[in-house]
Amino acid sequence: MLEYPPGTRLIEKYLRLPRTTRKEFWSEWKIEHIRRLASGDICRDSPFIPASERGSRLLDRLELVRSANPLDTSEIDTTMRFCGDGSNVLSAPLYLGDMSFGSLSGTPNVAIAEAARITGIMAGTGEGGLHPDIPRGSHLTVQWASARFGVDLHTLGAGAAVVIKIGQGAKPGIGGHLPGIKVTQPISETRRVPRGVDAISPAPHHDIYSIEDLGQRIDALKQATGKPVLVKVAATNYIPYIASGIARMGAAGVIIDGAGAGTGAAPTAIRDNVGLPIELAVAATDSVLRREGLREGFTVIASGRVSHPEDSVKLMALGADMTSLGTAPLLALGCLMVRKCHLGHCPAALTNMIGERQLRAISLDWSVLLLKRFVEGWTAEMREIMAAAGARDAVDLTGSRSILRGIHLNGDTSGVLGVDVDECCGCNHLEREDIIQRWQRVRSSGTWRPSAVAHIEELAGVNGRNAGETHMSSMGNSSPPFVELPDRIADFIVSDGAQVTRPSIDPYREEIETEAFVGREGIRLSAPFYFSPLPAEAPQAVCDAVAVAASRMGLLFDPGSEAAVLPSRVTRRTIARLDTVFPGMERAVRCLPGSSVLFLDSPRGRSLFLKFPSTASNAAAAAESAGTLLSAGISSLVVDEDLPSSDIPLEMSVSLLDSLLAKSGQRYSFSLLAQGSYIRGSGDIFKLKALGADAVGMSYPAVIASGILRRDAAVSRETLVERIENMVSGITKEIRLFAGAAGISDISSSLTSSRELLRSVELDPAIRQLLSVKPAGSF
Amino acid sequence: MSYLPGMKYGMPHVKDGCGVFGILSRDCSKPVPSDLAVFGMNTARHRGSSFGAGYASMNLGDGERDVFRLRAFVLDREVAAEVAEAVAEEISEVLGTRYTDFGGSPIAGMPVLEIEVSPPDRAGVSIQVDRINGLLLSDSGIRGRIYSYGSCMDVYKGVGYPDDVASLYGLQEGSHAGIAWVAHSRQPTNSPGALPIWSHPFASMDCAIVHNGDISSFGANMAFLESRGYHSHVGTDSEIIARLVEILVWDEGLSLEDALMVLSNPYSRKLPSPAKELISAYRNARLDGPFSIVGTLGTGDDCYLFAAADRSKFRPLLLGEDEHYFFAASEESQIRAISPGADVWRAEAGSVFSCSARRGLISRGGRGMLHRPALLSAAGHAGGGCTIEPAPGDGPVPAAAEGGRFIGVGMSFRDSPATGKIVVSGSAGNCLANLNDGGVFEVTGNVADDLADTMSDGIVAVHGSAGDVAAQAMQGGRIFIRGSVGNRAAIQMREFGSRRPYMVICETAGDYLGEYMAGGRVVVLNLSNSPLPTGSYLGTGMVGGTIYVRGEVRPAQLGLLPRSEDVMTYLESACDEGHIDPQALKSVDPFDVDGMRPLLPGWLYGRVVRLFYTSKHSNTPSMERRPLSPDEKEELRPVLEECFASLSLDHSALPDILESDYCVVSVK
Repeated sequence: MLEYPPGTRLIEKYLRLPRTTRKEFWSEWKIEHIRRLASGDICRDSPFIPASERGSRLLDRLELVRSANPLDTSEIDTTMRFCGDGSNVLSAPLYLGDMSFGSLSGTPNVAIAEAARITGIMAGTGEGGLHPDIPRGSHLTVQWASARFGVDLHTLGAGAAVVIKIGQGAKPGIGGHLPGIKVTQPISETRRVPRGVDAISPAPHHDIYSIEDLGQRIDALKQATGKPVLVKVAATNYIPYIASGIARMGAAGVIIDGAGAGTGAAPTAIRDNVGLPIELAVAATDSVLRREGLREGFTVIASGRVSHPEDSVKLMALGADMTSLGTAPLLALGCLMVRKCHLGHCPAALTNMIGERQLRAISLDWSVLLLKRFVEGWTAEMREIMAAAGARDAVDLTGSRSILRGIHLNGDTSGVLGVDVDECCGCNHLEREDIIQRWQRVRSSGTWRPSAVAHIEELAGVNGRNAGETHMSSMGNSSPPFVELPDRIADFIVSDGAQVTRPSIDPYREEIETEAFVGREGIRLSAPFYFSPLPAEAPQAVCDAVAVAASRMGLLFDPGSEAAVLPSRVTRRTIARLDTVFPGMERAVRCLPGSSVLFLDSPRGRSLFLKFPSTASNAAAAAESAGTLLSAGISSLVVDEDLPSSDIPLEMSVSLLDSLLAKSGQRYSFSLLAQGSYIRGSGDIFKLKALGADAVGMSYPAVIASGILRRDAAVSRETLVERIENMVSGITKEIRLFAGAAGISDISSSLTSSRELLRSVELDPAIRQLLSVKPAGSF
Repeated sequence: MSYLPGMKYGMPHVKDGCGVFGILSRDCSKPVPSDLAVFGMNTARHRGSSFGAGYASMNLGDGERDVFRLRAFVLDREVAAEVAEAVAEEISEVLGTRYTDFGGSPIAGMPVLEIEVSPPDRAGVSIQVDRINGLLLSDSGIRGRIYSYGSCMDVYKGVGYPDDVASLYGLQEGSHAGIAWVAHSRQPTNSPGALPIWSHPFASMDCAIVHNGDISSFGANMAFLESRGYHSHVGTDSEIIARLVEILVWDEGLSLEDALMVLSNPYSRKLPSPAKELISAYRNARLDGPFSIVGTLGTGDDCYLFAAADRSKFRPLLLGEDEHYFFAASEESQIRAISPGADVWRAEAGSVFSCSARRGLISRGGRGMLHRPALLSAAGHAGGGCTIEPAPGDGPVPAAAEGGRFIGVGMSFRDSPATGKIVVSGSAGNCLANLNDGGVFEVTGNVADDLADTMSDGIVAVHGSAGDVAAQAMQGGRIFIRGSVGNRAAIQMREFGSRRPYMVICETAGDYLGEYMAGGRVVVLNLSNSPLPTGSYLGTGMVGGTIYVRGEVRPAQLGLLPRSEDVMTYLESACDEGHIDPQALKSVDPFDVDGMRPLLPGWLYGRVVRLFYTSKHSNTPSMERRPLSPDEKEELRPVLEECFASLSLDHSALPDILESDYCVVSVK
């Protein structure tokens, strides 16, 4: 069977979980619970998640209604026929999901397939091809992904079905990614790519750019293998339509992977800002399939953060036929959640690099035993939960939403979920105050999440790693609003991942134009952001460095009051305050309280900017006095949420200003700039642009990028400049990732005011309506 | 009240796939009979579904006596009266109305109201139509919709296959005629209420659009229309595009070709400055994401047929002409069905095709030409079909239809090595020889898209051309193409151990040749000595393998280079700071990164290379122009000999070809 190089240490017992102070979705309790299942220890008082361990996901805010006449567990039937195949009866509606050989280190791949075979459930191979020791048979699905790694006619026929992988929840619209360090000799042989080079699957399938193209590929694979075909997609804006298209094109089922799902390697920005929670996606999909008459005989598999048997039952009640587990079986195998999968140094030997220098490996026998007990324990607990809820049969459980009741869900969300809500939550008004108050407090206190700081530092190369590249991470996220607390409205907004009906665009290897144009004179920015006034405490050296970097990288810099002392040779792209204002302009300034006029001279002439605080009345006043502003020569409107009288976040004022100007037919006479020191990076920039900004100004990230927060040895000015340039390069690449994921390649035209690319998740409906953003899962 | 989903949060963006067709007569006195349009559309019936189809015809105006017609779907007679009243009030005096309920036919879906009015002031009509349509649309449902208006155009649509809808209006008998026609067959991901309102074509004034794709700029384009005062939409791309064409041509005064260039939105780096300026003036009006558009526009004294492809050429679009007609279609077979000997060519990325009855061909939309069946039968292959010679193995016998898809898919040649050669006489559709593990295929005509995906062994010889995405993830065997290939040939080609795939293209290749390539050899022979043997983005994301191109490749065509504006801005700023001599700056060529080395200080050169020319995830491949090395000749000679033999080419040309200069692209 499996052989390891001499000296490889075999792991046969759990390592102790490291203590963490971070807020994590996979809490210590959840991990210990899974370890207990895998150890065969399931005697506890209740199969439900204790209230103290509930998270703040939407799924956690759904309560299973206990039946007045609970059943006995012996009456519960968890069996089902996979894809309607009468000869393939599963012991439970469970699927161990799609982790590739290469991402996992071989033994776990074999153990997962073997455990699925023994326990009578399904396992998916992922896109890395078939490990030679994986048992073939009816418990297996084989994946066909955009890179076609390790597939031919024979491997495709190895299982019960073929899975076309279009997308995954951790990085919708972005292709699979196996870092070069893990492309060792055995992986290079299976995937047929050079050793040591990142194996990045194309973001789209280049033969599937539309729904009829998908239909063609489904037909071709059916003809090639004679097996049913499932399609795996990420939960994105159009998921109900995508799923119904997949059903209409003749697939046997869909695997929907929700936001926050695990991954071996994903760009952090995408992981944290793209995709919908699985609970909304499943509910919406089930509803549309029923409406279209396509639900019968079509299998819906839900995945993404399925962390407890209770999650499985609830997702089935929302409309899934099966749930898929990925991170959970890894935890059963001893995963410590140290998030180093992409680096190849997994302490638990699950995702470490394999080959001649392998330090650790996990015992196959032990792994199979753990997973067998894990599956059996999970099934047993599902049975107990179903008994308590009075659900006798797994097949009937699907779509029985009446056994769920929502707690603290707003009307948008409960509507999509199709569940009743307990009355106690007419608290929308309070919630809106919450996020606005919180925005006020967080930005004025200058508190930044440590993860956001580390992200910027890595882009800048402060810690010496991957300067100027997109920030990568592994496993699920802990981003707001469902794990960490949301700090601004943008945290409730997700961006789209294009799939099936249109392709995503490979952001690493295909062209995505990031430029933006500002002012009537069309000043070209290389990317849709610039630097706004730095916090008062920022040293002069950083201010100088920002001016130089902005000039070289083709951005702008509004230094605020520091204008006079900047290095004189780099003023081409530095905006300055206009001190002498002539009468026409005075009228313009008077229209907007707290405003001031700035200018920039370029070879094309002088551009005038009117800067004002972020308030609703200013947005209205600017739109009303558009004519006055134009005749004063003002062609750019700058909303600054740092100005003293600002009382609403940029998301609201920019969106308001954009739509009011559009209504009066004046939108294209102006550029809209949105700035503030609490703009945290590419995600905020992308979302604000879709809400109507032409360019977004940020400042504190430049301070982080300069490295001065670390108080390390004094660095030269050129080093400061270099770090800020690296950050600009990294943020620009991340913006490309967002655009590519959403399937747009012309940011200046396709992104600005394109709210259709956004969805809100559990955002106060009043704010959502003001932003004109649709709620996630609506159809 | 009909069912309308999702209005609570605004109109959903409608997603569908489809087939398109367009035809224009070269002669105003010989309009195209409707049955021809139906035939052309129905040939690609498999691209659509029973959920919707439609046609639009365009004719010349009658000058002074112009009658202006509007057509509306209406829920019932009551709504019809309401629409007629609104039209009389807002647009012009109503001369007559006609109400047809098609006997309640499910193909019709809704009754149609036809209104004739006296010639209105054309300038305000579209806004009024939008306003009336807005009144018919509410959160609770849709009571009706004006879907066609103008003095030269008629739109016919319903809920069914193209032939079903044609029967509904009597189009199959050739009873209607148009100088131009466009047609559509729809494949929705979901079908809101199955109403004809969502069928194509969509129209603005005397302009009708059909389209295949799903534009990603939808939200931005809606914002543009919003600012122009248009508020009532049903969520389809074509409706938006028809309105954009109208605004750009009539309100902005652009020529049709310029308007279409704005919409098709080619990548900036491919455009000269004036075109760049023109395009950047129309923010939010440009289209992004996959589309091929076919449309017709009537000016009263002329009729136009036009087409445009997206900047990445994500959707199929074939163009053609013969002595009577111009064509635009989703598939070659649609054009050949009407005119077997027509000149047919592929649209190129970001290109514009336009022609008119009076002006002839105005903009071609693509270079080159696909092989004609006439040429093929001269080579001794007459008739269509697919045969296996000499005797089939145990595998299934593939479908034998002209343009058939999936030929050879699922046949395991590894398991039955006795299987003979599969000969396709004529043209093959999509997905020929996918997963081929040792079979020998010969195609006498052209092949469509997705040829030989994930082929691991065997031989494919094509006497014509191949479409987009040929030889994706090819991992062994040989492919020989007599003509040219579309975009994205040999992407993800890879090799392992003793298996090395070869692809020989005798003429030219489109954009993204060898993208993500990890092994194997691609040879572009350019036998006709085209000055442009390959398109742009050659070898982008390559990590292994070699591409040989006989002839000239410009450095700017290679890989994914940075925007020259960004590099020059950086250097100009560094020059301002005094780091570069202004004279040296003038000599910098952003496409020649090695040439920059002597011009810049070392630290600055390093920085520029790292910021703009290298990335952890993709590097620009290297290119040398040189004759083949002795080793390369030895490796390629037997492959080219086999290629020449398979394609019956003259061997005497081979020595010269092997001695030619090649642009050799590989990983640094």
